[in-house]
Amino acid sequence: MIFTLWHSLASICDQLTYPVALAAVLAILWSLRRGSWRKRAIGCSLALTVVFLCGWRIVLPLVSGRYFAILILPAIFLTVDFLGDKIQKKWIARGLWSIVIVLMLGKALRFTSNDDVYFQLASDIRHDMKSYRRPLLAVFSNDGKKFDYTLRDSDIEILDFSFLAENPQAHAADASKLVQQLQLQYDVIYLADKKQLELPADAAGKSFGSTLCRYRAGKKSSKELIIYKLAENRRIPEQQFRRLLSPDLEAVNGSFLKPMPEAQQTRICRRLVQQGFVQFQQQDIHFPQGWIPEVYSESTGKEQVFYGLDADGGLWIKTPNRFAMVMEKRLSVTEDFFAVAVVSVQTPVRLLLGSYNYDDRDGRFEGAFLHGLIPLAPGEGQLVVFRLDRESVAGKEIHLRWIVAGGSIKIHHLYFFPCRLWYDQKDNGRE
Amino acid sequence: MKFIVSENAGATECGRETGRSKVQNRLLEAGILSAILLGGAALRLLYWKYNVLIPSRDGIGYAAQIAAWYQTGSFDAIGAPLLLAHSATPPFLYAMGRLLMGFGCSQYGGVFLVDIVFGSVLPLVMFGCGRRLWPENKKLAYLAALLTALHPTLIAYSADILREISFLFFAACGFYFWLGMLQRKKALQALLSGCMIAMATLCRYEGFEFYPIAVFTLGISIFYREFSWLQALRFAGILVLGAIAGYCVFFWLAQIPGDYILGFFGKIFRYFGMNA
Repeated sequence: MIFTLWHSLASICDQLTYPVALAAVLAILWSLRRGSWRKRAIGCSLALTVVFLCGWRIVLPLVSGRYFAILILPAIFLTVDFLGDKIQKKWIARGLWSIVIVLMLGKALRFTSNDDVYFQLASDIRHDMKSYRRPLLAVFSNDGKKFDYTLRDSDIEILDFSFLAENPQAHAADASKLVQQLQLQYDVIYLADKKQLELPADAAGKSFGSTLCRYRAGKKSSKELIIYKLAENRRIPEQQFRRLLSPDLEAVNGSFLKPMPEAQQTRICRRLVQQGFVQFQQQDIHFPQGWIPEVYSESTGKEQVFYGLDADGGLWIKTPNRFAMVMEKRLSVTEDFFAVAVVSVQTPVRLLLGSYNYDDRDGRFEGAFLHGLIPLAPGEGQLVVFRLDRESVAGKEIHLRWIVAGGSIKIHHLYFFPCRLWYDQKDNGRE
Repeated sequence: MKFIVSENAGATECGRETGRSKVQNRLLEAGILSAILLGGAALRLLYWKYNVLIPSRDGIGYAAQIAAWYQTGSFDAIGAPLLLAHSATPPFLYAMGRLLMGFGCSQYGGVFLVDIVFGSVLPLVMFGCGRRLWPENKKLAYLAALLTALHPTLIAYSADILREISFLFFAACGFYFWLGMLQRKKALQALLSGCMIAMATLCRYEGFEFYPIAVFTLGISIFYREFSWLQALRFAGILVLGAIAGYCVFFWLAQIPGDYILGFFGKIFRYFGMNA
């Protein structure tokens, strides 16, 4: 409580600026001493208004100082009333006004922006990415939007990884693993962060990356903004890869043509309805055999989850939070696998590959893990490729989870097959 | 004591004979106010040019949403309307940004222009409020306008893509008309006060706190016998009508979908639980 109060008072002083805040407080104390505000309705109303505006803001833990912006207006009136009217000696009043105005002007004309460093970083990235067809910038700090702005006219895709800190399910997958998945999709990956990242490395521990550039984050900052570059060519050529895909390589019911048994479907619908997703009460909801839906939503967004299954195959999912399809069959992964999705995206969405892992000796549940994440822009018939390395799931049995996060997507097919099929094809020159 | 004998005789300031005619006085006052407004606008433009190299994180997001709405012609492009309502940014800034994109502004330039204009005109509104708060002392109104023009936080809000300055502008306008309602007991003042409060809520949800404030000030006026019960109820009703009119006109002009409107008002009941 004390901390909240202190934080609120600090935010108020920050918003009002210290001279105005001090003058406003003195005006309030003066008014309380004189009591003239009680004589008329308007005085009393204004006093109670200030109490009301300040009251709830001080006691609630408000994270942003902008909630206190409205207090600037009454503070200005209080300051003017105190310095302009209450101080009898004119020379004192004029002196105080001069000080206030000089301090205001001084602060207003102090240009302290450090944002030019982002333009320098963007320039370095633009220059370097010219020789690559499909570049990606993965931002691990909270500067994703600033890079969006400075690189908005370029062809580079930007992925904001700052959410990793907020997502408890992702704690088991570090940035290095996620970036390795992205290397299958992009020619070059630039990683932006304010601290040393653990770059992906080969079995011998040799890092795949290098430092492209680094700049101090601000004139007085001790932090550096660093851009790493991963240019190890691991991108899977999409057209050739598509030729490999066939119904034989689909995951179990990977086209979703077989419906789930009625009894199982009813149980799942009942569970979802109990969780608050009342839209699953409808009779025409069908789930595909071998795939169990898991839906996550905040308490206020449940009605926004949409799910549909086309008669000719294809899952429609629209969600403000996360919607997962969990493979019912438990897999024992003994070699490297590709998990591939062919999707059409309506609104920007993230597609994640995760798994529920179980110890293969005693069947003990070990937790939910994230293996990859790809951001998807609107478009038809896109190919999304994840690689599931056997080392990451050695000694485990897994239920694969395809997770749709925040957007609208249709999943046409899901494939799951050993990587050697692709690499054998490449080696035999059948690209 | 000397008096100027002319058709403009009797020009005084603060009860003091000034030696200037009324017209000259008015011109001087207009000159001072214009200087304050232009000075404030110049400061905002300077701040924008040298300190806002990149808009705020929120501002970049707003600009992207405005562009999506403008390019697709559908409010749904901002995000699913109900999702937006739950998240949910009040739509005034989106509507203004989209309107200005229709006149050729960029998604960033349009909203910068809106904020700089509102920020530059805010001192004028504060001047008006000052004239009503201190009717005997015009100097204090000028000082209020000057302090508003020079306040660094207001300058910073004016020079970025943020919702705060339009919220403060409408809040100040609402306060101006609310003072007029209390002092002059005119229905039009109550109506306009309601409209301005509605516009403030369409910028930031905190604007809804002005409704209980308006109501309890009427209650206080009854207690002080400055209003009768009937008068207070009448003005409260007119204020509410003004607010409803403000919402209706805005939602109609901006073509906001109905499900968003429901979500917008529904969020009020969840506001303090969600954002605090």
